[in-house]
Amino acid sequence: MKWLLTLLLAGQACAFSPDLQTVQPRGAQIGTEADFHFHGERLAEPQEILFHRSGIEVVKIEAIDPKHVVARLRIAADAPLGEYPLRLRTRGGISYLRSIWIGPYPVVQEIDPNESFDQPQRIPSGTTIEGTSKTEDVDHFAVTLKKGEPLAVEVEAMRLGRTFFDAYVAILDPQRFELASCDDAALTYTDAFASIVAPADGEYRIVVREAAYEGNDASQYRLHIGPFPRPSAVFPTGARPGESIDFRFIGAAAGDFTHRITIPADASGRFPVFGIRDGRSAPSPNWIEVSPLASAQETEPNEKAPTATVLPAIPCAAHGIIAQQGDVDLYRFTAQKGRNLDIRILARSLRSPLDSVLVLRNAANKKLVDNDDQGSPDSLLSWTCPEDGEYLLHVRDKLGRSGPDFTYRLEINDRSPSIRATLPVFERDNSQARKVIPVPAGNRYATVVNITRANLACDARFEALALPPGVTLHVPPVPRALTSFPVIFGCAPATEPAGNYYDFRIHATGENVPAVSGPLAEEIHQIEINNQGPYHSNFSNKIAVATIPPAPFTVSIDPPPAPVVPNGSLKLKVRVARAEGFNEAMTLRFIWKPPGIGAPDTLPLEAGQSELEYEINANPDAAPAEWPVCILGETNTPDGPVLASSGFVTLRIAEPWLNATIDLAATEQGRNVDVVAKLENHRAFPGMARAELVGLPHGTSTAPLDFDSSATELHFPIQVAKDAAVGKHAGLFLRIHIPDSGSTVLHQCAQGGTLRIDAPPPPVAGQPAPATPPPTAATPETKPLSRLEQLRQRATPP
Amino acid sequence: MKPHCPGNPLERYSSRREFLYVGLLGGLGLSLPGFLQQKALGAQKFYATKDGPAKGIIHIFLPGGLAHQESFDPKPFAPAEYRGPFGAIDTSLPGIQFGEKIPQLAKLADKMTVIRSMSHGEAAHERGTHNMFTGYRPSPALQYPSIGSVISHELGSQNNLPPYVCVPSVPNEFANSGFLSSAYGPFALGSDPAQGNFQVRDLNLPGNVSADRFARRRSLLETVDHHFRTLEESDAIDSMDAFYQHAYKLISSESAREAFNLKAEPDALKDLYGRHAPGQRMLLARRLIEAGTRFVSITAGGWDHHDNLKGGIERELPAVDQAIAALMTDLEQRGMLDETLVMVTTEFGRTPKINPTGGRDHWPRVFSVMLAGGGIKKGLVHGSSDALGGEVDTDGVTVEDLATTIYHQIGITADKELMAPGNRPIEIVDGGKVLESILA
Repeated sequence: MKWLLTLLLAGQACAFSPDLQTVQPRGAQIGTEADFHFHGERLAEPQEILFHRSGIEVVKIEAIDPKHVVARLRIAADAPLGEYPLRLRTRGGISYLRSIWIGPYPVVQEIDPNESFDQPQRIPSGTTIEGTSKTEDVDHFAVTLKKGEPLAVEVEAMRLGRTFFDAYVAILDPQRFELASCDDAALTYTDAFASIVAPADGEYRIVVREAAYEGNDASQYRLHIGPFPRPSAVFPTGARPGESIDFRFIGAAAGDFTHRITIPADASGRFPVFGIRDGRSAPSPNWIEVSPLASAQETEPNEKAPTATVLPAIPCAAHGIIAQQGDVDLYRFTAQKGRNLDIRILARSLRSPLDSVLVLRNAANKKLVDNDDQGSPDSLLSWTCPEDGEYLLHVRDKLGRSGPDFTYRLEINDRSPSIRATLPVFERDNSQARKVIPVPAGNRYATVVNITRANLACDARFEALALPPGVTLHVPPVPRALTSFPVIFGCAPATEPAGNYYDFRIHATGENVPAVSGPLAEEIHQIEINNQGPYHSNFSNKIAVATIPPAPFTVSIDPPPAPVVPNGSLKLKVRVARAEGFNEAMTLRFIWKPPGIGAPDTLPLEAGQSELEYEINANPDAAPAEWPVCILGETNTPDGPVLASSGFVTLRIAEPWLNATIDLAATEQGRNVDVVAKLENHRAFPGMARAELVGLPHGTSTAPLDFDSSATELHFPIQVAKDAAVGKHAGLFLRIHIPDSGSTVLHQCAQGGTLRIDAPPPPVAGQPAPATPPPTAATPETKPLSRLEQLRQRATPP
Repeated sequence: MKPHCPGNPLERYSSRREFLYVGLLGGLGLSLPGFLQQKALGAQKFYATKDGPAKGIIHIFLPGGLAHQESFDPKPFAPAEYRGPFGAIDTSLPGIQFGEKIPQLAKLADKMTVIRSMSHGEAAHERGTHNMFTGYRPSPALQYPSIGSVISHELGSQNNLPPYVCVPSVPNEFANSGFLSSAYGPFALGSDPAQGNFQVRDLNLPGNVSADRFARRRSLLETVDHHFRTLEESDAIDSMDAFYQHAYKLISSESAREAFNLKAEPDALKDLYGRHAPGQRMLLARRLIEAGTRFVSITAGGWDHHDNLKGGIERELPAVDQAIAALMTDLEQRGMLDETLVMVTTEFGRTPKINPTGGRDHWPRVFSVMLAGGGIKKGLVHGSSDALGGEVDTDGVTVEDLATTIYHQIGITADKELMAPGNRPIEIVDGGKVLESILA
């Protein structure tokens, strides 16, 4: 194997695991070509840029040096505005996800100094500024407007995904009075937008800063300044696929407007809609839910039961706005006994300011259930209809707030089963770690897949719909008890580096299981703060997979010859074949633990070391089963981090051969005693087993005992020294090695065994000191006495 | 009948008649608050301080939470994922093992008491720290004084030295004087003894100020202070006055200043302690105790090993092991160990099981502390944790017990009440008992 690795590595110096840190500039104008600079480590031999969505074409890509790649990108004239998540693929792998942003206007760099009202950077309306908000930095921009001319600003700051940057914007009139300002907005999270209609001719200022003046050199922003409409909400908040609707866009300074949009026939779920007026588009979308449900719109007044808006037959949806102070919207629907329904509000998930409360009442207006939040500010009622009849739903804001943009969508659905999969979070506050699959040529890569089942108990089948050439996926059976399972990607030798985003599916399987399946989803939080959660996230239903040049090692596990038993332990022999010249220290990771199995998550493999015994422990309640296990080897080579896994070996959990208990033993210092273990044999074993008594206190010792499967008791003669530790020592237990298949199976039993050692009683005055009794071990033919028998004997006069 | 609220002096005078008496006294020149204060003072539990076996205490605090499994309470028989990356070694105490990364302390196990059954149930850093520095659970209603400040309050200064010193700086807000006057707060060095240019801040006169000039300045300051004092009475002014008095004593007493002079220590001793932060801090602590400081609080290292426990322990523990062992040896050789209580504590223990990032997380249900000297038994392990180091198994010890025992050793009865704002008498420790079994 070693010579093969050497051959493969010859002339293959390659930087593994490209580390893309920033992309500059942070965006470009639609319909243009622009050079983007990719900075990081190990970026040599760039191959391509993988985008989440279409609209951008890579014209040219070249490495200036291993830390700098330049790519010329052509942005289509009809590309949707907004965020374009991307990854850079080099020969050595695929980078973390970063984003660039496409806006409507030409990009102008911020020019310092612009810190004061009187020293602004003057720009024409219809500009995107790319700037940085440094510590205590307040950037001013000046735009000349005519009376009645609209002006909107929107900043992309946290959404750029580089650092925690809570931006604030304000528009000031020529007399320094603030006309509009914004720190956070429901639509754009911590990013801000504002809009005005100029009340008079003059030069207006736009002010941008970090909300707490705590910017830094990484606090970059893109600020769109122009006459575009910036609605804060859209209504209705849902549509059916293929439907054409006049959407009303709400909250722009120049007034509400409607814009007709046709929803694509294949759209579903959360869907972006851009408010376009006079040919000008908002730089980022508003959001609706696309689903085939029939829907109703609320008709005010509907605060009282008699005037409640009547819903179509369930499943259905409705759209409403909590527009007035203290507004409550009521809906009436009919349901049948036994029907399991999920009734939910989509408001904050569609970036509405509404913090909904949902109350369900029966026809007699008696409250049945209610909900405020369910994992987010939006409400969800999982409810089983108790009897046929009409029911009422009340929707309101938790704090009684209201506004024209407090839009929501109400959905009533039959509770349906679903299944989906994700890759686990590998590092604290770093959702990007191990979210791509790099498979070294002629080697393997392993990862864990997490399953989320809702309203469903099922086995599962996992598959890749496509993979790079030369890559194969190995998936074990996934029984219903598992919420995660390991998979191994294998790659044929001499496979050329390649890669892309690929679709995976997880299917529910088993008897009487509905035919549902779901994707392996990518969930990346570009900004994530400990205990606060994510501030900017990207989601997709594909995972990036790449083949990379050979790794300088392979990992294998010797198939364990014997099983592990509950409370027992087993050592997996792990071997690492190192390529010549590769002697780096490594980390070996037991990536997935079967139910009932414990093990260290990682063990270090010292530099130059090529073998290691990996201790696997079974819990007392580990159920008999066979499970596939593997070990992932991780190392930091001079060419970057690289990972490769072993293949699967089968770990068998068997019923224990025997169990044991230890009787309480008591003695005095200097007086030997027998510790008696009672064996409970479950099944016979061939040959001799060996038992060790472990956990003896200071000053005592004994030897291991060999026994065959007919033994029912083990007597450990304990030598007790005169200075043996006095006290009740309750840490005794047995390690029993049972022979099996040319190996031994370690049983650990009789935990809590107790040996009491007392100080000798003081001599009674006038009586000669008692002769030291002969050691018990010296008279093995005598039946050892139990603690009770010893006490009886002592109490009985001779 | 209203429910009685112990400690609230206002509730002690409920009848109208008594209230009238109080009003009468007011007419005779005693204001109601003053009267209440006097009554409350009279109701305080009082115990005179006495000479304890310990004359000084060195509190070595390991911030972040040292893993008990890797230090004083290894679990060599536990499964690998609990056992951790290190083995256990025999100590000089037969049958007792410590973690393999504290070999120097293992050799001194017969001179110390290790408590393996500490517990306080507070898993957040600041709360764990509060427990260990004050002997109290944190309260939103009251800031409790640290043990050092209580000792400063009760025993005062000797040999012109501050009674309570933090090396190198005040480690956290709970090391302060709490509801006691800030005059009892710690004196912080403001500079790390491990640095070559170590000099205690503000200890010497500025280079261009002569003693005469300094005396003139002081006189001027007293004039200004007197003016303020006639206008207003406040604890802050009293505290500042106390600070100035301490500072003058320090600056004017050469022997006191000399206590801070690490350069006076021979190189061989510096090497014994180790030329690193823990070593030099502990060496300075010994000098201060030797000179008459009552309580020295030292922090060493950072032990919040959520990730890569192995690397963290290998990086940090050997220096602390060397320094504490050197401190104990040095104190013993100077005949000081019997009257100096060395106490090694931490915020809490760490989780029994190694987590996926190779670390252990916060675990306050059981952890270990070490005590040596100052009348503490030599060669004792008090209490135990269970087989996985997850729960107290025998002889559990609370922070109240530990604090009460420490106060007892330096001659303070922890049941004594100190006056908190609002004339609320508050026990030094609420409800602890002296751990008689660990006393020599």
